[in-house]
Amino acid sequence: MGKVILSNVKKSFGRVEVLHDINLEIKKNEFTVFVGPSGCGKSTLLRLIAGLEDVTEGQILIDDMDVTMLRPAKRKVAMVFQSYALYPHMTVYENMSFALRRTKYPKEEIHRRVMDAAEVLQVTHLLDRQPKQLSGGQRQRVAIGRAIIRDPKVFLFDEPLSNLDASLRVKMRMRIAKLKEKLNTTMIYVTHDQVEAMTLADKIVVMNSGNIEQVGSPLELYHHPRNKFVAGFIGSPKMNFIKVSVTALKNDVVTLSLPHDRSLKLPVALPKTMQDMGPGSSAELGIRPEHLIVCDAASSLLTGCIQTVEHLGSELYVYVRIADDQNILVRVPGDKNFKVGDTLHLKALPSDCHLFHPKSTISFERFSSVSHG
Amino acid sequence: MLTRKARFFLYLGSLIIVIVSLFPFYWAVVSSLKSGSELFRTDFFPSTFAWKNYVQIFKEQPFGRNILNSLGVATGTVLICLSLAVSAAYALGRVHFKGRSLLLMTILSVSMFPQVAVLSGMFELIRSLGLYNNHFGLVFSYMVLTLPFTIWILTTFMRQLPKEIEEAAILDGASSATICFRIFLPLLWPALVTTGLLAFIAAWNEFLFALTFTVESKARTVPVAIALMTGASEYELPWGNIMAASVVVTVPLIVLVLIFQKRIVSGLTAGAVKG
Ligand SMILES: Nc1ncnc2c1ncn2[C@@H]1O[C@H](COP(=O)(O)OP(=O)(O)O)[C@@H](O)[C@H]1O
Ligand SMILES: [Mg+2]
Repeated sequence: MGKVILSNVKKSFGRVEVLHDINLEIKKNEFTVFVGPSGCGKSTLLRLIAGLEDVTEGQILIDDMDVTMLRPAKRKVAMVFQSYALYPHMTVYENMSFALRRTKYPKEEIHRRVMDAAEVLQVTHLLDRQPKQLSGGQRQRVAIGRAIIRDPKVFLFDEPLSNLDASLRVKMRMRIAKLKEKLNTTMIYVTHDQVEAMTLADKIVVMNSGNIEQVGSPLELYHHPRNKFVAGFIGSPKMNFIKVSVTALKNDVVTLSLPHDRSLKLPVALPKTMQDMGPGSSAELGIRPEHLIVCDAASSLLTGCIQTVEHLGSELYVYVRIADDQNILVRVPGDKNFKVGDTLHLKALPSDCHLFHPKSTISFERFSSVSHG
Repeated sequence: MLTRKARFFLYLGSLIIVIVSLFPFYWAVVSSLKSGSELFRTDFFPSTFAWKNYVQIFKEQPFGRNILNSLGVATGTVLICLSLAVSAAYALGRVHFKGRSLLLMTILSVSMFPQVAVLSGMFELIRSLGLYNNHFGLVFSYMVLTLPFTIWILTTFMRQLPKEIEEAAILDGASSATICFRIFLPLLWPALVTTGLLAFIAAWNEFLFALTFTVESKARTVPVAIALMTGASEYELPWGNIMAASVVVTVPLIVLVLIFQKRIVSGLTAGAVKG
């Protein structure tokens, strides 16, 4: 249960429009993650679905029913807040049963459901405590418990892990992943952390300043980012962007000139909107740090002097200056022995290269769709 | 760390403040224990302990009744005032509507009228409502004095409560009344105690309305009863009795403050409530 459709949803606060014409379909039982930089409108979108804010324009449907005008409690959605938002003066049991006590459920049924939820989240031993007697992770679990007890069609999570420390966050992330298997309900999860998005999502919605940039599975976004924003946002460490210029464009093959007079031929399918590209135009070449391969001078695409080396144990982050104003990051196995000042020759498979249109700042359309092996 | 000198001046300063603020009360206690002509000598310590004054105030007039009146009126004022103020503060603090800040400013400006300015209007109102010489009339008129600041303080506290708690309750299907009284009220206890105490003191000490709206000595509240105490002759002011009465009526306030002391202090930090 829990198919969510947003059609032409807009939201303004006063005169400022913070969400522009959002269209999105979330299938039932899908784990969808809204990801994007802070302030891009993720929380606002989630709160529109919850009904905590009214849409300025557009429609929201849950299970094919128009809920745009429905009160939050009638939408059968539950939300877990970043600050947990537990009722401070109630015990865990009272917190969890609060919603059901608003309804006409019999007492035994309420008790049974609280106990069930408490067991799933392993908070049974905490039921008599007050929120202030709980640790951050325990509060988080109670907050989730309070949500699942209502058996909602859609779960909404707004950055539920960002108040936890790093190790606890990883633990809770796994717990949420398990919960998703167990509950089999539609979940919409907001985060600014792309690692959380990649690890949890069936479907990622990348947002940027009130627009949806791209929707897709984690691997789709990783391999086929539609524009420079998505390319830069998904994947850690960030994709390198290298300024290049087009020297020739023939038969769906683009020839690029790289620093140090090297050139690279990439197969492209030129989209209609990019017809203005031609010899002489500039573009940006995107290559992920993990896709750069150390090689000999003869076969290399890029060459440069090592500026910094970061040892992470299992791997090295090497910063290489490939042109006067251009540093790139290379990720290599930890057993390699590179030193600052060494010269490094690098190459990448054509299928790991992404090309982006140079001009527009917000929506760099992907120039080519590179075929993958 | 403070140097010795700085600490000396700190304690000296504190001592001066304590003496200045407590001396009038001390003087009242000392005077109340004197009798007859002793009253007109300046002794800083009582030489004899004359409890006569304390006995007299209860014998010569219905002072016990007056205290009960005051207690009833002040308690009633606090209860009605708080329940109205909590609802008002919920609306003013948590519900968005047009003219909200205008309304809030209006409420505040009400408290700026001098009491005398509303006195005659209030008198007419109370008489036409048939509340003259009646404690309900006093409670009613005290709302003018206590509601503005109570609403203001509670609104401020109400605004500081985390929005997410309210939203969680909305999603949990709670009505506005449930949110106001089941979620927010328990979180506002410290603020309620603080404002309630202030309202109690205001009602307890009020003189002008109490004097105007009551006639019989049985209906009077304590401040009026004390002011109207007369001696054996018209030209004699019974200082000893007045001082004894003053001490007696101060005691309940002190007891209240001591009981709620912890709450008052935490009332000042109630905004720090975290989910
Ligand atoms: N209640 C509000 N009133 C005015 N502006 C708001 C309100 N809520 C959010 N905004 C604005 O909307 C934009 C998106 O906010 P939000 O959805 O919280 O971003 P995110 O969750 O992605 O960090 C921000 O620019 C924020 O300032
Ligand atoms: Mg947010």
